[in-house]
Amino acid sequence: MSLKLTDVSYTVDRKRLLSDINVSIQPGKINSFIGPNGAGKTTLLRVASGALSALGVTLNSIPLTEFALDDRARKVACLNQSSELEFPFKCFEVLRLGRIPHRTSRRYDERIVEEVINRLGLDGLADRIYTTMSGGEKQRVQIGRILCQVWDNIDSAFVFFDEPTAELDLAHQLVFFDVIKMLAAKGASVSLVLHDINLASRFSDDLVLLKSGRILAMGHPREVVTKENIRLTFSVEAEVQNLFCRPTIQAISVVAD
Amino acid sequence: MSSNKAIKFSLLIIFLVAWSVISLSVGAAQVSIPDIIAVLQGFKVDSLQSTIIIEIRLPRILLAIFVGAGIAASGAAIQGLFRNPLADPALIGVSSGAALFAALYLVVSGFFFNVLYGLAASAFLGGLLTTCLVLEVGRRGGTNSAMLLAGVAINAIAIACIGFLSYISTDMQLRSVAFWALGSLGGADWNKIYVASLIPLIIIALSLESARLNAITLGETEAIHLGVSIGSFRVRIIFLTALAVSIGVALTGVIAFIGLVVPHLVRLTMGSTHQTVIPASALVGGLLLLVADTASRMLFAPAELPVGILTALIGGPFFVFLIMRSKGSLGI
Repeated sequence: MSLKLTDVSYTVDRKRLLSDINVSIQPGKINSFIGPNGAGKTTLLRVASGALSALGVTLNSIPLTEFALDDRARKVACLNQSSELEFPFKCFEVLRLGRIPHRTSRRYDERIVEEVINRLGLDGLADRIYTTMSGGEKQRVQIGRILCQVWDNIDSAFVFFDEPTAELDLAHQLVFFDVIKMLAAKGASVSLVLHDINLASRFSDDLVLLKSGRILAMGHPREVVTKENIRLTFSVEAEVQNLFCRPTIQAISVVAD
Repeated sequence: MSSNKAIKFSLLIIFLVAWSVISLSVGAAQVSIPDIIAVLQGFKVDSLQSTIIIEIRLPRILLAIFVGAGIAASGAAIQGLFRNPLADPALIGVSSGAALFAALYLVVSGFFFNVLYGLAASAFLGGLLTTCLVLEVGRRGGTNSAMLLAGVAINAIAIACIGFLSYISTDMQLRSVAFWALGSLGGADWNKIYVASLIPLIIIALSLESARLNAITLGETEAIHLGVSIGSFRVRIIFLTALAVSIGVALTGVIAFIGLVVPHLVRLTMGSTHQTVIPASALVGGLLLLVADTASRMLFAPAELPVGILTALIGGPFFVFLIMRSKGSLGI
């Protein structure tokens, strides 16, 4: 069981966004894609999750494009950076949207929504109108929607989040990482796009460092988050220290090319 | 369904039936309620009252309910599909596109084929073409506002063409062309009801798309991740709504704002999931057009105000109110 990208390239309007990407996304692991703006992190996430179709992406050795959409949606869930929802849904109705591909009974879905609400501490928001919430609250609800989508088949799920913590306060960031650690422990594969290298280093099993659509380094955070790699990709001079047995960086200055 | 929603749905149905009875009773000639019951039971077959009830008022009431329901449910579905709470069949030019083709049919091709079916078919073609055009222009513009602006432009073009048609048409044709621009339920008869009875089927078909409509309000990529095949889904919604709106236009002309205002009222009072919004919009839309039509018959009796004027007079200010209240939250 794994999601593999083999020699994947992706081009839009003759512009190469990804080149020669080889990544294997394993169950039970948390992967993070890091890199500077425009490195192709989001594109990689979208290609891997099937939102953009590209050759060379396989799920359990079957090309991702060959899955029926609803079948795929029962295995692969993905949260994009920003949500476009402009209709005054109630929070629990947004959560229930995650159940659409499953066609399970309403009662069953309501129980799952209830469990996710409890797990994420969304109790206070459940009856609120989505469009009236703050950015962070909306994000927590969207994260909940993704959990609802995979809640009853976590062990075989592939879950993708693009910048999930950008709008979350410190406490809710920790809640989020706690939840994805639980997902991974139960066998799910979790992939994240993160801007914050220290968060990525601390909570990921594997990091994929991208620059200009290519993978520059890949592996355990200790191998990836090094002074040299940071200088090469971000053009930033940084101090690297160990915290929680993981490399932590402090950017010092911008390197002139 | 929560009991709260069930009560609201029951209330809507009761209002609809009650107002239908009132509408049967009032008009240039008053008919008492016992007389109405007698006529509906099949008594008094040859009386004047029977003719008024069976041949004039009943088809008109049914037409109002069907057309109002069709426009409102289509408005709800189109707003969902375009993820834009301000989309409306009339606003984005679908209705005027259908009206233009209906007028074109009358002026150019004259009266071969069955007039009613020919009209409905060409209105449908016009509605379908304009929906696709607006959608494509909006897609190239890349934003929701591009789509709305495209609708405004296409609306203006269609109205100009209708104006041109009325300029070159004969006196007799002119009157029917003007009819499409304003919207009226006058001239309802059972033949029109047969055509209009497609509308309830369309509403049922739209209701079956509720879950997918909910999914697409999150965005197209999100809907794909929830298992929705966007391409075929979009085609189904456009086809169904264009059909419902065009039937409405062919039978009654352009009736503005029902498709915009009704889904909003429903979302404000009954929630936003399309499992509720589609059927509730249909009921409220039918009720609203029936009330407006009764009013248009009564206000200047025995003369009649085209009901499109009335719905625009009520809907226009409501629309302005919505825009002022939205403060950027409407996503355009």
